Parts: sequence; structure tokens; C-alpha cells
Amino acid sequence: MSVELKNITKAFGSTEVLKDVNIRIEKGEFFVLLGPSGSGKSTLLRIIAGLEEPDRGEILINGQRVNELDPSKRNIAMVFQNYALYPHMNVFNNISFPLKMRGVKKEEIISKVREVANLLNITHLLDKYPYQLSGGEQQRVALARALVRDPEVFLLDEPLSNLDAKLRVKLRFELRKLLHDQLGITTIYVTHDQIEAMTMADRIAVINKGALMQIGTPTELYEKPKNTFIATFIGTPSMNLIMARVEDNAIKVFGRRIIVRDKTRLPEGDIILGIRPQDIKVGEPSIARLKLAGEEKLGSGYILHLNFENSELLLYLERETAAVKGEFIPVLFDGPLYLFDSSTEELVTKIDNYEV
Amino acid sequence: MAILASKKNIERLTFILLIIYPFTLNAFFGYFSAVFSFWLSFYSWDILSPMKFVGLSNYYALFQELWRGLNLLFSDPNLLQFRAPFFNGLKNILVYTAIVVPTQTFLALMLALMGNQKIRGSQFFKVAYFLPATTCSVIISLIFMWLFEKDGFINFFIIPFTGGYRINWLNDPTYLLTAISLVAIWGTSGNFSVTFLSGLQTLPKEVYEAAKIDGASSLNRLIHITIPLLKPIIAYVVIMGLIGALQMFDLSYVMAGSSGGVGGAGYTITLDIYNTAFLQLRYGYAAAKSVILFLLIFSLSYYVQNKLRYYRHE
Amino acid sequence: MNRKLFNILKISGIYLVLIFFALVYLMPFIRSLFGSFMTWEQASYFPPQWIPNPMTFTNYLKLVEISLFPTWIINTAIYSGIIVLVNILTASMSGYAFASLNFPKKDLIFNTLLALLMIPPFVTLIPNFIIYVKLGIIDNLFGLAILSTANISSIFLMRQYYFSLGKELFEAARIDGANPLKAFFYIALPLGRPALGAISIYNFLAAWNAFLGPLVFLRSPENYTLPVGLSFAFSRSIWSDYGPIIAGSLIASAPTILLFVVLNKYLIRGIVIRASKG
Ligand SMILES: Nc1ncnc2c1ncn2[C@@H]1O[C@H](COP(=O)(O)OP(=O)(O)OP(=O)(O)O)[C@@H](O)[C@H]1O
Ligand SMILES: [Mg+2]
Repeated sequence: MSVELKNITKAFGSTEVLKDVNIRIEKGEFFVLLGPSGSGKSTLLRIIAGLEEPDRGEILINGQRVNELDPSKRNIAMVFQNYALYPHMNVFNNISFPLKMRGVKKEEIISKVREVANLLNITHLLDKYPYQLSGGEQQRVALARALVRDPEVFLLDEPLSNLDAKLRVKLRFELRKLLHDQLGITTIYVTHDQIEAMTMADRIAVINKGALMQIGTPTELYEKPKNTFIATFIGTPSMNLIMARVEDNAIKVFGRRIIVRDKTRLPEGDIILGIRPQDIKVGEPSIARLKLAGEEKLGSGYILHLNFENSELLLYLERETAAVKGEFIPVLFDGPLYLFDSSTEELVTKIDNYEV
Repeated sequence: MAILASKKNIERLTFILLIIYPFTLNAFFGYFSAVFSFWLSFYSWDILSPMKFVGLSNYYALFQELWRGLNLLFSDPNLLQFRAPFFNGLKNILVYTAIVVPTQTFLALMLALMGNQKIRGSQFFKVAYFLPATTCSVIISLIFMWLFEKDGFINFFIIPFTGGYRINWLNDPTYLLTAISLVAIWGTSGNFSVTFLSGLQTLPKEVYEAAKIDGASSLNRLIHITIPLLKPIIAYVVIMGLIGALQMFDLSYVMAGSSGGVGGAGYTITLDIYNTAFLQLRYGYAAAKSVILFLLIFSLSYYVQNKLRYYRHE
Repeated sequence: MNRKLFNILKISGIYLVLIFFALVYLMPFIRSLFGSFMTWEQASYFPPQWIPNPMTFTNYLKLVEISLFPTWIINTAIYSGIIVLVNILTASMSGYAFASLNFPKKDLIFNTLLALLMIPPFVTLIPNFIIYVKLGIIDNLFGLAILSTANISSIFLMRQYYFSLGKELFEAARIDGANPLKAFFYIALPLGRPALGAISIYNFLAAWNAFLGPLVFLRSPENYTLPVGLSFAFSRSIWSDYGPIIAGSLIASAPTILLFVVLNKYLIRGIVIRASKG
């Protein structure tokens, strides 16, 4: 089922938590709400669920306005961050609860519960109580409870954040396979972890301070970030932002001129130049020689911290350099450049073809 | 059905359904009655004959009684109970409160501090100290009346200190209020010591460990860490003790009788309200007295609360 | 060495004081237990004697000779039973409502109720008595019980308890298709059991030991509860001597003593909740 949010606005007291949010989520889509802590993601999800009421705006499920519907009548399912399993019921009763509340017949309940328990490999846990389960098992029970009644929309609020790193990576993959590929349920998934968002989502909506920043596929967000917030929020390590100037349709940076090969005309004056750490290389013909301030080992590669003027430039390498701390090393740009307006921080243009 | 389908209305209706009984009951027998009581204090009424509005004369009579009592206190205290019972009750309850509240608070704190040491059998001590608080005050009074007899159990332990003199606790106006106070302290101090004990157990361990490392002696830790940290609980215990003491009724009613015992030495405000209302059937006058009691309790506990809060910020 | 000695002395000192006070607090009960099996002559002997001689059950037998005493036991049990049962319902229902349902100005409503705790019972006693007289339910055990069926402290305690469980559980139930009322019966009520246990004990103790209410609202001796009855028996000397009063007191306090000795952990935990609110 499709879910549509129109002009959703919400304030708690005097703090505006959501500002005029408009999103349309298509049927069967795996949609991720991404944003830093406190940005209003959970609030938005809870508004869709009906646990919270928007001050203004409409929620449409399949084209029908549901603002007035009780959560129990919306045919949505939700997995909470702490799972919210009923501590006084065993796993079987936890999973069957939504069916029981809908007056489903006993035999049907049993077969349904067996079916999802099989699907999620928790048949052996049915007699246990939540406190007897590990975090990963609790998570699967919570999923099972949400899945058991074939919801039309599936909401998940940071369902992996209580698990250890290894399990998280594994479940990331499994969750998408199950919900999207196997069952094809419309899913709205909340996370503050951009890697989670990038690996799982069909489309991502980035929220910051209650405002919708950009909606797009992971590739779109990575390749065409709408502003500096998204540019730095998505991709690790973060994109470098350098203060620069445009003069005579050329970018002046590090005392050098970068000439744009495309026919685009650049706005003259101060500008923010963005370049991803992966797109900076060590070597000649260098654009500048910068002092090496430190090095971080990531396992898969290395991040070099380079100093220039009063700020820092990050550089991602796959192999270790021979350079030592304090040494000046030559760097060159080898990838797209992003130009952001210096006051609005919006993307002005992306430059693929240039020459130093 | 349409009303029921709306999310807001389902919740609101359920809310009303769930609280309607407790809310109505408390609103009626709590707020309505409190207002009624205040209103009644301007009337003269014995329930049977019609109500008569008397303006402030109940309060006027009350202050006359207090004034008379104040004069009698210095000229002829023996007549107090007879001529100014409300004043006598007020005087007694203030003396009683002044004895009971500090003593029980101190005793409770001391017992809690000792019980909080790492010792075996602390649960036994908790149960032993708390037991009086779970027992009915009437029963406690009845048992103690037997123990307080002139040839009774308590005097047996007292005579070594009085040179063989057996105090006639319950029939001597000098000792009656003391006897009642002792029973009250016995009955509530254990209860409060358990309150202190649970407070002590929530104090942060790290602070103590840091203090130990800084070389503070156990006495210093007590004075500079424990007592200041316990201030909110001390305030709670003092105020609860105060509210309870000012309304003391059961012990006096049983141990001294509704007329306050010999010379009215065990008379209290609450006994006076009880007598005025239910024996003399002067409901308006009794209501005026209860308004005064409320003001007394409210202002005293407010005063103490502010006083203790002031200490906390020093 | 010195330090060790000091510690031993300190611990023994503490024990000595604690045991002394334990004796002080327990002695009246112990003394009554022994005294209740003595003749009145022996029980009031000076210096006090400990071993009942002759051992006698007359004090207890006298209690049942007059049918009032057994009636009082039954009355007290009915009175306390009603209060405990209804309070379990009112406290859990309104505690849940105040903790997890949306209602305009619900915190104001709650605080209004809570403020009633500051009004001394003596203020409302007289109007309530008058209302009861006018309603014609004076001297009626059930009528009296109604006054104590919506204890505000209990509601407060349940509300705190449900807050401490977190709102997600109730929200999950709503999403799972339970309406607010079903969420109460399936989730809130069963989960409330530990707190409801504590509330039951408190209300039981308060009802079993209540004196002022029964004294004012009950008129005829066959309607009395134990505290009023015993005080009545004493002031009217319905038994010729004091022995049966002692025996009756012991029997009357036996349920609360047993309950407390068995469930003291529960009760003492409840105090923590009450104290942390103050
Ligand atoms: N019931 C509430 N009352 C008042 N403020 C609230 C309430 N719920 C949320 N907020 C505030 O709204 C803002 C957004 O909260 P929300 O929980 O939606 O953030 P989030 O994006 O989910 O963050 P996180 O990643 O930490 O879960 C926060 O500043 C929060 O403090
Ligand atoms: Mg959140």
C-alpha cells in the first residue's frame, strides 16, 4: 500500500519537531527515514502509526485519509527500538496477540504463528518468555509479531540499534530480503546510520531538525547531494568542504586555478568546494603540498588527515603511504567536484570535467 | 458508531470510563465535603432543626475560647479542660508534637544508620521495627494501657531509676500525655526508620568511596555526606510526622477517653472536634474547629518544608 | 590489631543497640502473648511473671462466649475485603488511564486529585457524616466501605508503576489491534500484578486497622469492626476483667502481623516508592 504524508507539522510545546513534511512512499517500496538523533524521525513514524497526532497535515494510506483512525484500525505493524515484547506472555502468545485482538479463530492462529515462526526460524523459542531470549532472538520475535497478520505497511524504528555490530550487518541483509524481496510489503524504516540506509533502501528521505532535506535513491543522494548537510552526512569519511572563490569562471583554491571544461558558467564570488576523500589522491601533478597531521587505520583502508591553513582535509587511501607525520605530501583531485552556495549551502553544480 | 471509530474519541471515552468512579467519589467526598465544611462553619446546625446562618460567630466563639484558655493557663490551669477545651486540646497537641516528632525522627534516623551497616540479620531488625506500624493503633493502646498500669510491666523497668516510686502513668495528669507520646513514638519510629533505611540504600556508593579515599573518618562521612544527602528524606519524615501528630486521635481516645482523661491531660483538638460534632451535635462549630485544624496543619507543614528547603541550599 | 579490636567493639555495640530496640518494639507483643494465657490475677502481678501458672484459655474462651467478638471479626474481614478488591480495580484502571491514555488536561485532573491528600480527614469527616445521615446509609458497613474504595495514594502508585514500564508496551498493543480498553485488560492489568500486590497489602492494613471512620459511621455494636469493637468492649467493660481484651487484641492483630512477617519484602519495597515521591 502506498503511504502519503502531506504538510505534516508537529510541535511539542514550543519546539517544532516536524516542519511541513511531504513524502510519498510507493507500494512495496523499502523506504528509509534517515537523520541524526533528535531530528524527528521517530515522531514522524509515530504519526504514521497513529500514536501521535500531527498539528497539521494529512496521512493517506492507499489514498485514504487515516488521521482519525485509531492505531488499531490502520492495518500497520510496527517494530519498536526496544522491541516492546509483552513480558508476561511467552513467545507464542506474543506473536498471536495481534490475531487474537482481531478475533481470528484458534486453529488459524496456530497455523499462522507456525508459519511466521518457520519463516523467521524461531519455532524452537515458542514456549520461552522474552527475558529468556537474546537480543537477536527478541528482535525476530518482534518481527514475527508484526508480520503475523499480513500488515499493509510495516514500520521499523531503529530495529537493529540494540544489537552487536556483526549481527547488525547480517540482519541488515536478511531484513531487506525478507520484507522487500520475499514479502513485498511497503516498509518504512527509521535509522540514524547512513550505511544502514544506503545498503537497505530503495529510497531515502533525509531529515534534519524536523525538515525534509532530500528524497532519493542511495545513489542519487551520494552523487547529487542537495546541500552540504547531506553531502557530509552521507558517505564515509565525510566529504571535504573547502572555502574557495570563483573568479573568471575558474575556481581558485590552494592558490591554484581550476578551469571547468564544461560550458557551465559558475557564479562569481565565494563558494564552498566539496570533494570526497576517495577522490583525492597522493601524487603528481599535485594541486598542493599539504602537511600530514595523522593517519587512521580503518581495516579496509587508511584515512590521512592533512592540514591546510586552519582546517583539515581528509583523504582516503586503500594502501598505506610511506610518508611520516609532519611531512608535506603532494595531493591531486581525481573525481567530481561539488560547488555549494556559500550562504545557503545548497548545491550549485557538480563538475566532472576540469583541469588544474 | 461513528463517534467510536474516531481515534481521539475512543481514547477519551475509555479514559472517562476508567476514571469516572474514583474521580466522582473523591470529588464528592473530598472536595465537595471540604467546601461544605467551610460553608458549614458559618452556620449553626444540629442536623435535625433547620440550619441557621450565624456569620462569623462560630469563629468568634472559638477565639473567645482560645483567649479564655490563654488567661486560664496562667491563672487557673485546672479549669482549662472545663472552660476552654479547644485551647486545652491545642496546647496538648502542640506539646505532644514537640515531643514526638523530634524524638521519633532522631530515633528512626539512628536506627536506620545502624541497620545500614553490613551486618547479619538486618531483615529481622527491619521486621521487628516495622511491626508496630502495621498494628492497629487501638490495639496498641489497649495493650499499653495494661503495661502502663501502676503495678505494670513498664514500671517494673522504671523503678530502679525512680527510687522505687511507681508512676501512675494513666491517672496522673503529669504523666498521661507523656505515656501517650511514648506509645506514639514506639508505634511510628520503626516505620520511619525503614523509610530512612531505603533512602540510605539509594545513596550513591561512589561518593562514599571517594570520601574514603580522601581519608574522611566515618563520623565525618556521616556529618558531611550522609546527613546532607538525606535532607529530602528527613524533610519528608518530619512533615509526615507533623501531619500525623497534629491529627492524633486514636491513642488519646482509647488511653485517655473522649473527655481527655484526668484533668483533660490527654485531650486533643481532634477529640474536641469529635465531641463538638458527635456528642454535642454542634456541627457548625465543629466545622469551624476543623477549618482551624486544617490551617494549623497546612501552615506548620508549609513552614517546616520551607525551613528544611532553606537548609538544603546553604 | 588496634583497628581490628575497634571494629569488633563497634559491631558489638551496634548489635547491642539494635537488639535492645528490637526487644523494645517486640516486647508488648511477646508480653501480651504470655499474659493472654494467665489469669488476670497473675497477669497483673508485681513483679511481672512470665510462665502462665495455671495455664488458662479462659481469656480466649470468654471472647467467643459473647457473640459480638466473632461478628466483629467477620465485619472487619468483609470491610477490608471490599476495600482491597475495589481498590485493585480503581487503582489499576485509573493508574493506567492517567499514565497512558490521552485526555485534555489529564495532568491537571490528576494533580487535582492528588491535592486531596493535603486535606486532613477531620475536615471532610463532618460533612461526610451528614451526607451519610441524609442518605440513610449511616451504621452500614458497606456504605462505610464505599468511602475508602478509591484511594488516591494507590492510584498515584499505579500511575508511577505504569510510567516505569514505559509507554511502548501499551503502544505496541494498540498497534497490534487492541483498543485502549483491551490494552488495559490484556497488558496493563496482568503487568500490574507486583504493584497491585503492594497496594492490596496497604489497603488491607489501612482497612483492618481503621478506627475513626468506623467509630463515627457505625452505631450499633453488631455492626462494629474490631478496633471500634475492642475499644467499646473496654470502655463498657463487657468482659469483667482485662484478660479477654489482651487476648482479643492479639487475635485482632494476628492477620496483620502474619501478613507482614510473610510479605515484609513487598511492603518495605513500597515504602521506597512512597518515600521517593516526597
Ligand atoms: N513526547 C514528547 N514531548 C516533548 N518533546 C518530545 C517528545 N517526543 C519527542 N520530543 C522531542 O522531539 C524531538 C524529536 O524526537 P524524535 O524522537 O522524533 O527524534 P529521533 O529522530 O527519533 O531521534 P533518535 O535517533 O534519538 O531516536 C526531540 O528533540 C525530542 O526531544
Ligand atoms: Mg527515535
